[in-house]
Amino acid sequence: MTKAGERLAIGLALLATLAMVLPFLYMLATALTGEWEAFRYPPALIPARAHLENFPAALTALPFDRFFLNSAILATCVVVGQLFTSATAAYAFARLRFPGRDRLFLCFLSVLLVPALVLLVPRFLIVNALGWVDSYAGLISTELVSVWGIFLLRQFFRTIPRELEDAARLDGAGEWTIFRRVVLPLSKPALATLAVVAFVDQWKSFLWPLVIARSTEMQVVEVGLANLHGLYYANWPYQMAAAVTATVPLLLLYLVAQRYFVRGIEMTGVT
Amino acid sequence: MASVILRNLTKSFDGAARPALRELSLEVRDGEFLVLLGPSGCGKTTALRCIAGLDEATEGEIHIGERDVTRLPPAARDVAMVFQNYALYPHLTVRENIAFALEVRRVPRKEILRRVSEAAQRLGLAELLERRPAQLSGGQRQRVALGRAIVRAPQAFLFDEPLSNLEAPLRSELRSEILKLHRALGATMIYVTHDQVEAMTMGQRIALLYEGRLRQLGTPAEVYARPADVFVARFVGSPGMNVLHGRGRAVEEGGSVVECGSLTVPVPLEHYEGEIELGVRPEHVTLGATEKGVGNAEILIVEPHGAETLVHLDAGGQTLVARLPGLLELRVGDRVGVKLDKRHFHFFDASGARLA
Amino acid sequence: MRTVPRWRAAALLAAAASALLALAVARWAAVRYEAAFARRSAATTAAYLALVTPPAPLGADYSLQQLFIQTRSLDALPGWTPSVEVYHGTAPLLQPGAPPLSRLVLDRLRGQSGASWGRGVALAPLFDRDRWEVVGAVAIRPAGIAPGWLGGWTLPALALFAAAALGALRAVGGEWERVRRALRAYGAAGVLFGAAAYANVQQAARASTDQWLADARLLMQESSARLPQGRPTLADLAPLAGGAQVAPGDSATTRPTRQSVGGVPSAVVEVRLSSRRWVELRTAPAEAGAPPWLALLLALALIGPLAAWVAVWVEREAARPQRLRETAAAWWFLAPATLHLAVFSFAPILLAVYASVHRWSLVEPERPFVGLANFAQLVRDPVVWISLRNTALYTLTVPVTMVVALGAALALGRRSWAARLVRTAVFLPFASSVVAVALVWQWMYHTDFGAINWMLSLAGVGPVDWLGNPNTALIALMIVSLWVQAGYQMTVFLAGLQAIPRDYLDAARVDGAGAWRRFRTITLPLLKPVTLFVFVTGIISSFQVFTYVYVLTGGGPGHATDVVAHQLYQAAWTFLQFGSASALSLLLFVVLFGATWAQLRLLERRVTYD
Repeated sequence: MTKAGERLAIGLALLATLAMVLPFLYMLATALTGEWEAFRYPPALIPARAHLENFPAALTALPFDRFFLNSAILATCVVVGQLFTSATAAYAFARLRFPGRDRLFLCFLSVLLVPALVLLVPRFLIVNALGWVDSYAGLISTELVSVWGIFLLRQFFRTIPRELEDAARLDGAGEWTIFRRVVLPLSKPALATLAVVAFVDQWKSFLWPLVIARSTEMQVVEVGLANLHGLYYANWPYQMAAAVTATVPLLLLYLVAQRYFVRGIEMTGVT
Repeated sequence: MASVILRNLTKSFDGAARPALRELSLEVRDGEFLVLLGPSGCGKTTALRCIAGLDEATEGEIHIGERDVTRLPPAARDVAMVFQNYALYPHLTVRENIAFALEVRRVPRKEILRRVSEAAQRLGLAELLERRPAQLSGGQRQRVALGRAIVRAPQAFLFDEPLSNLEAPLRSELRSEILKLHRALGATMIYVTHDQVEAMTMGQRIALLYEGRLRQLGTPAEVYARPADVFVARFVGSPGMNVLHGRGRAVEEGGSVVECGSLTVPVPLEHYEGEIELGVRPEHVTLGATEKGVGNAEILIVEPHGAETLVHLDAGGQTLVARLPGLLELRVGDRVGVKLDKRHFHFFDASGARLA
Repeated sequence: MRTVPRWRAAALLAAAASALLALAVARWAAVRYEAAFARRSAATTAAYLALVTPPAPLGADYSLQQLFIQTRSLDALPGWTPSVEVYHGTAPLLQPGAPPLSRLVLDRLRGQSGASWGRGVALAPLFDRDRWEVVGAVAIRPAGIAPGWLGGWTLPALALFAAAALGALRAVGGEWERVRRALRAYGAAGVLFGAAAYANVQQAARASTDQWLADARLLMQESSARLPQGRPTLADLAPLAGGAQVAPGDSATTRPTRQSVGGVPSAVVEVRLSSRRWVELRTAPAEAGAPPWLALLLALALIGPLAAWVAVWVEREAARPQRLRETAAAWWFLAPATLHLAVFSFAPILLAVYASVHRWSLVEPERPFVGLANFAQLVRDPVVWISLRNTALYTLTVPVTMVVALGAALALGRRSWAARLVRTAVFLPFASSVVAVALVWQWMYHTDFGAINWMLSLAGVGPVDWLGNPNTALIALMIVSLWVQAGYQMTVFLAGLQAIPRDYLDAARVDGAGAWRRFRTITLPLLKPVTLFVFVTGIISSFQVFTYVYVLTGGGPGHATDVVAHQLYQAAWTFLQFGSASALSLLLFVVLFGATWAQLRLLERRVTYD
């Protein structure tokens, strides 16, 4: 590449970084601004004084502690549930021989033919019939199986050498012992990927919690944030303070587990 | 320790055109070291996996000791297996690998500790117990695999080409190690290999398999000296036996001659007429002047090995190999006279079966 | 192998159970419809008696004599089918010798509003003229309007079913081709039998509606004959109609018919009150609620064939116990995921289809069948079309984002720390809270104080009301989407680029190909599967965009940013029209089917390749 091209690329990259990061900085800056100071023209990126009091004020305007707890419960339960159901099903598909296996697997995959939005209304009707609206059961139950997770783990399990299983079988291990003590420990990277992806998906999910959680006590962070927006429409520092708080857990997770994020995305799109 | 008996064992895989094993009957005696030998795809590994229970026999029976284990799962058969690529659990230490089977079977903790250290002592693994398989060399890994097998004190040991992933010097070292174990434990061992050197040096008896069938069962000496058919004759020995295709013809003065290519070989058969396969090992072929011997042949290749020289010959379309002592000065393309030692002839009929 | 006869015995048992259960359930359903008819008819008769019987001289009770007369004439009414008994107090009027009603039963009738059913008789309370005190009861014994146990086609179907079952069980263990044929015949016989049993249920349901309409019609006409001119009014007749509607009518069909009234299928009969006065009696046809019975009956009838199939399978596999063990283990491992998918993925799809042809609201108990009315309503709704158009426009972000993301991936593919830093930054928006992102963009889009307008003002461009102007609102949303999705897509592209062997590019370089040429002839073609994947998944996800719309614009201004997901949300949770929302879901399913199909094919290819 030529020198000029190099310089152009660097310039563009810098510009892209700026475009990506600036809104976050703006969010943080506004979160630290006084309520009226925000309506200044031209807007100031750096507030005169750090109004840290915005944070406690915004987070108690609605019970955000409860929202965070709910989000954490939802995401954690779904992670545990998806790890369990995906790993067990994937093990059967990858390692056990039984009649109709491939047809059943295609049947599982065919669920991907149905966009999530199409399932929204009928799933709500079912959860409603079960009496689970406005409960953790309703929030969590529909998310406990991920066909994508099954697919991901199946692909991974197939890379584990069969001899390991044969050896364990001769050592006296049953299917469950092989699964628990040989296959699962060897699949930690894939399990971690699925866990991270599931956690982030649930933390970001909005529409399902919006329709299932009716009372304030059952709301998750995302919905709470949207409700705060409705209540404090003109108070941008409050909204930004809450937005910063809602984003921090995800960004921390991203920075810690970037590897798994990226692998999860790669595995969806590329072999 | 127990005997292992196979009766009419047949195994067909779903979708395969031919069965991998056909009516294999075999008795491995209690405490015997038996080698299953054959080229790749002959069914020897399938036979081993059927004995282990990893593959299910389509027909026939398998007995280990007094028990009919044909329909039992691997765990209930009480056999241990050593795999070609070791199959050590990568996430467990050497100690945990060896102890795994005992833990799964809920052996008391103290007992596990005792037996693991005993096995480690025996195999010289005491220093390596806390390492993981990735930190071990190939030879060490296979030693751990051996440890994992002996710690269980099973009814029988199964080896699936355990040395073929190792380099030559290590291989001979482990070979004697396994034989030492066999002597020390007095255990029944079934050893699968495609390497006839391993088979000849290790096996008390050799079972030769080809295309899913048992071709010959016998001691290494028997298999070498009296091959049951053309396949065995050609497969055993390096190089294998020369098998010349020819026609037998009775001669007036009594006996017969076999005409194959440019050779006319008088043979000690009474009035034999028709197609015949004449087998003679390379060490029983000697060369001389063109007018001597049973006919002429052209030298194709000369392979000097130091202590001996292998000479490949073309006798009118029939190729044969001579093993001659010492380093010889021979020119490719020269014609030489061929002499065959008639005391060491083997005769096979047209279908390949041994005559007499 | 000794277990095989046991399995065959179990299959035989299952076959018998399957047939008997299906018969019993069909009979039970038919009797339920019969009971429904009788209860309704009893209530109507009680209302009729209350209307036509003159009161006793004192109080609100009826004159016993008059009640007796009315009852006798009722029994003699031409065309009247059910056997009826009227109690005054606890005393039977028609058959004086019959046992009286127990006080307990009468007391129980006081405590309830409608008619009760027990021992083949429906009992409705007879109220006094003030409709206050229960002074007696009307008992109706339905005269066999439902087909019997083996009525209709049930008997021949049952015979066929039994014969097929025996054939299948006899074939077990025989030649595979024969077994398969026998099993298939058994299954087909099961379907036939289930359908025949259902036909009885359906017939009972239909008859219960028709019979009631006919009886109610008779009673209404009779009441008109017995009351002075000008009466009865529609209000008088309302109690006779029970839950059905009475409307002025004009035609002369005196047999019950099925018509569509306002898109809702109804059962209708015309009642002649006098020579010029007709009223129409409309009610929901009972058979519209019958289809769930079909599902149940088919399921029951197929238990037998299924059991036979299992027996056949076990028989075949008994020689291979390990395979049997492995299959059992596999199903244990699969059970959690399979059950979940059945309940929360497959059942919802069926439910969506079912709900889309019904009027379904969470607050109304009635869910009448409306055919394709929900779909017709959607197609006629201009807002639905606007939302579809907006959604389609919104998906244009996908190709634009792809160009940006691919460019970024090409520029950032190197292994320098700077490239890694930029990659991390570009991915940030995708890794953060969706609503938080929406909020900060809303703040930046602020007309007067937002950062974007301030920057534009530096370039001399006047303030733009980004989210308030119908011309810019959708574009503003698309910019947010691009900002978020670029990082995600770039990551996928990067992985795809890394999978391209360097040798190809080096070879092209040696051949003297320039950067652009290398990109065109090597990188792009090799990247095709990845590009396709990004495109297809991008389309699928942007067709379902909701959160940004909900938070940033609420679909406004004036539907300028209304998208399908938002329409669906509003239909269901603002207007509580779940039937209509289900119809919209299915519409979305159809629209997106091509894309989801392509996605499945892409995954499948990976399945078959490894």
